[in-house]
Amino acid sequence: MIWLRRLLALGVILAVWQAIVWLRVAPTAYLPSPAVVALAAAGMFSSPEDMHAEALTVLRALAGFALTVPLGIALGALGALVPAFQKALRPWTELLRPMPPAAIIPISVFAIGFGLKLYLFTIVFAALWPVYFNTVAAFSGTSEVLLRTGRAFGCSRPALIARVVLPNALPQIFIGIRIAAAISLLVSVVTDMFAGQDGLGYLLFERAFALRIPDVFALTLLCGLDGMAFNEMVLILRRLVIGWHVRMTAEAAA
Amino acid sequence: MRPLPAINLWGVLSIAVVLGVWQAAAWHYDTVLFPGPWQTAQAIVANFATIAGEMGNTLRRAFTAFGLSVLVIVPFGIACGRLRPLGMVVDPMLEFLVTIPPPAIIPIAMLFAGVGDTAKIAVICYALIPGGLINTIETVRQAPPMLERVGRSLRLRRIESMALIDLPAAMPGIVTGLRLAVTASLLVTITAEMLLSTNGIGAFVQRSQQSFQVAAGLAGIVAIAIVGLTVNLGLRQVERRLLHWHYRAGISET
Amino acid sequence: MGASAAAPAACANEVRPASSRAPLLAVEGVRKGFGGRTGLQVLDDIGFAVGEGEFVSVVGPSGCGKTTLLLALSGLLRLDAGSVRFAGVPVWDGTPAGVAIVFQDYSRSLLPWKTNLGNVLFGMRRVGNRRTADKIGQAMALLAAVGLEGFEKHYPWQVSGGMQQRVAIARGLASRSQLLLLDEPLASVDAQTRAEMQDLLLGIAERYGQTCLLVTHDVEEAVYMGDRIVVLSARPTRVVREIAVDLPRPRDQIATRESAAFLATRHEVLALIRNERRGAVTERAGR
Repeated sequence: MIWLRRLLALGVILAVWQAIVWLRVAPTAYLPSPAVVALAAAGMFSSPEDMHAEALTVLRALAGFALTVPLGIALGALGALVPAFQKALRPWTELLRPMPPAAIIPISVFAIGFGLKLYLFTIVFAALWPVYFNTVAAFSGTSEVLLRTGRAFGCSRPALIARVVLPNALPQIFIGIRIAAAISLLVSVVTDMFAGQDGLGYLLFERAFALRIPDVFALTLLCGLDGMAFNEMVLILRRLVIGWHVRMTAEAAA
Repeated sequence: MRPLPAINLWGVLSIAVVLGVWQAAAWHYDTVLFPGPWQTAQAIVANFATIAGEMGNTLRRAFTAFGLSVLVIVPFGIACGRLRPLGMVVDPMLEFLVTIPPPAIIPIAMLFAGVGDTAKIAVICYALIPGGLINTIETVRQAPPMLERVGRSLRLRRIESMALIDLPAAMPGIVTGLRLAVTASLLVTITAEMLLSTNGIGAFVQRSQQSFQVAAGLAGIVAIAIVGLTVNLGLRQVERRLLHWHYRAGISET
Repeated sequence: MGASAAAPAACANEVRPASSRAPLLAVEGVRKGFGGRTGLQVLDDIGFAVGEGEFVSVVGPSGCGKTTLLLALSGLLRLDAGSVRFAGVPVWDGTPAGVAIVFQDYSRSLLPWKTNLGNVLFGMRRVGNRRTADKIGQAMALLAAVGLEGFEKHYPWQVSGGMQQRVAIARGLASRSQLLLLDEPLASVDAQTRAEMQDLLLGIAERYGQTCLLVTHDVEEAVYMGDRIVVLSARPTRVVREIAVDLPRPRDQIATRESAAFLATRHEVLALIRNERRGAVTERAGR
């Protein structure tokens, strides 16, 4: 049912797009028709250079994401359990959270150089915060009754945290994880654009400057597809880890 | 909620430690390419006028784009939330648009509109509108159905009902979404400026980096952090003031 | 006051004459306050004992700190003064292995990421030296005993409130604990289910020979369920009186509740509590 609607929506978008092209509302040189873009996309999928760039961007995003999540949870747990730590971190989180990742990329290139470590740094820098904040909130918000129950049945402090607080906190932590996934992809693309070596971001600008416009559209759409894939990946992960919660909210809504 | 918070001693300590380590590292490397906090501070003073001017450009651009986006998000969002057929058509399109990372749009914007203000504002609007619409539509949809009945019992026309009932009821959710959008608008503006340099604080940072004036670049980054922090804190105050009546006033810190 | 309902109230530590063993739970001079010197003194010199196999009910006017008392008895709250001894060993920090608790707020006490069976197994955490298959068998038997056969694989949030509380009770029993503490377990359950569950609890206590301490605000429930009633005063709370309940077992929702002995005991307890409530009101008015 959902897929039917999505296909319908896709159809509407394509129709509107084609209409705009026909009506010559935008300069035709700069707005290719869907057919032309489709052709470019086909070419893109069969081009090793393009697919290499896609792989690079996606893998770097995944690597950064994979590093961010455990780090964010660990720091968040630490922040919730050791108030001094959270207070010490607070000025930095408040200062760095609104910082555009793009702004620190040139400096990072300076300090760290190119390669995977650059991406790991920039991605973690940007994607850490949602995971951290959600973890702190989830840990701190554990209900008193739940804590008493754990202790009443003989949980030591470590056992309480691992077996009661953490599983209870995971639904909220996943909200942060979902946001972090989107940020990871975004920062990977942006870093491509600044580092200027390879990857989808770099390719986007290269093709734009070369005025290969259908390619630019095709690449942009590919970024969208990657975004959807990342989101699906997180949803699958979420069902694996906290399937109980997914079912609970689904049944409550029904 | 609380009065002025007590001074965060741990926070002050952590700031002091980081600044100390930074300065020590700067002394150790002793190169103009690695300025310490003191040099950065000096750069801030030296470049103050430029930074302030550029920041003004950035803010002007960001808030213009934000204003335009709000004009689209609020009425259109409420309409889509209330009018089922419209919502059903728009939903999948928004779902798709929101997966494309805003930086990926920048090359397309560049092709259409060059590097000027228009291009940047277009990018920012693209970054804000799909997410903002989704948030507004969700909020309106979650309004208690009782309200709709009230509207009907008062024989309000569709438009009146939307303006007089849906709008205030959805306000809390919308305002929170808009607060996040303000931060996002600043962020995307700076990113766009760095890639499509003309003026603005992002362009300033980019220029400084490219001419190896690291201290000036850092000064720009510090300015961004401070402005971001101020805007964020200010917004949270505004939101708290506006929504203090609302039972959901336990606003999340994210 | 009915002659058969009077009981010795003097010495708080007095062991029931019928039993020659040391009490399972001995409470002596317990005090607990919140908020320092200018704060609230909730518990003020509480003392009583619970013998093995007894079913003791604790009642008092609202706000008298019944839950605080229960938390203190189970080692989840530190005492300001006094002692709680379980099987002769002082209870200090943390619930002793022989004590299990059923909380009032079952929806937040059961772990939502575990099935009903999983939750009962969670109660067996400290029962270390058994094979998993044995434990599962035990847990299933307990769930059947509380009438939840067939719901083992369900999640707590998939069953009704009454059923959730039964899971909590099964969990309380699972740890083979010697003492089961119940904190107003039926307060959040609807009235019709309550009667059913009262009988369920009594049946289980009988079947497993379980020593129980039931904290409740419902006087009739206290009389119906208990062998003995500990009546608490208003804040700062002390033990006003201990009353032996001289009613035959097994209890019956209709017959027992109509009996003269039941009504007399009920009368006595209600009068005491009303007295306490009035005293508290005049004291507050006088301030």
